[in-house]
Amino acid sequence: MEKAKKKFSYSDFHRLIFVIALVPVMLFVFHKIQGREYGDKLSILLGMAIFAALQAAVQSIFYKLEKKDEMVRYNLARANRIILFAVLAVLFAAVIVNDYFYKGLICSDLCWITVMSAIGLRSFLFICFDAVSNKDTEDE
Amino acid sequence: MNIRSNTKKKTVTLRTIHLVTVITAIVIIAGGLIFGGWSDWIFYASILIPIILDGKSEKEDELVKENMAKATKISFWALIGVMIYFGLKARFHAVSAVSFLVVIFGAVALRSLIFLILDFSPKAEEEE
Repeated sequence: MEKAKKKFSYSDFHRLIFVIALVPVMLFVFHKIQGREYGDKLSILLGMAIFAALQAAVQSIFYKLEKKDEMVRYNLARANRIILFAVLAVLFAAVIVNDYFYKGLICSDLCWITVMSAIGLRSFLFICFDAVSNKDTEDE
Repeated sequence: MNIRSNTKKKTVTLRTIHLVTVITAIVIIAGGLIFGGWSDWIFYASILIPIILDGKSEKEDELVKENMAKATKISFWALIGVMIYFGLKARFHAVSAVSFLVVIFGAVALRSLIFLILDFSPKAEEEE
């Protein structure tokens, strides 16, 4: 039974996370461009959590997640470091903009968008780094 | 003739760098909260940091990289957790800019603090 399970790579896993996290951000941006309200963010977050839980269940039943090797760890560490500093920079910029240019920037939307974008971009960076390392390994 | 290039620079250890980072971040957070705002003294304090840390930074070995990766991962997810809390809170209550600043400096302090804890652990001492 165990042998029948297909392998699920970390790149595939992060591709899913990237899509799950970036969809609400893109919807928010499109709604903002059209000048419409986005709706209740909490229900969207709950929807995402249900989707993620279902995905995790399907994955654990039918697939086997590959083990983290050195390269995966290294690429994840790089992605984590870049995104941590990017989030800190965004928060710092938000404080300055809120104080001097646009009052009311610090709100629920900013927090959600920052969280979703951070998780999505972390996965995106990991996919990019992983593709480069895989290509280098193939070339060698 | 550059006199400075001829003089040998002292090596600043990563422990010193992160210890100074933790202390500075905590002083800034405490100062801001106790004295009711961040004023000019922050700029003077930030001038002191490059003076204290003047020198050549120690090179990162494998264990340091591993510890930094762990510290960064933990502080990243802690930051995401706090942002989710703010996202929930800001639906009905205002979130101040001061709390954002506390979170920013808190994340920086947490990362350095976790690194120091991991670096001072028995495993790291054994490797040395």
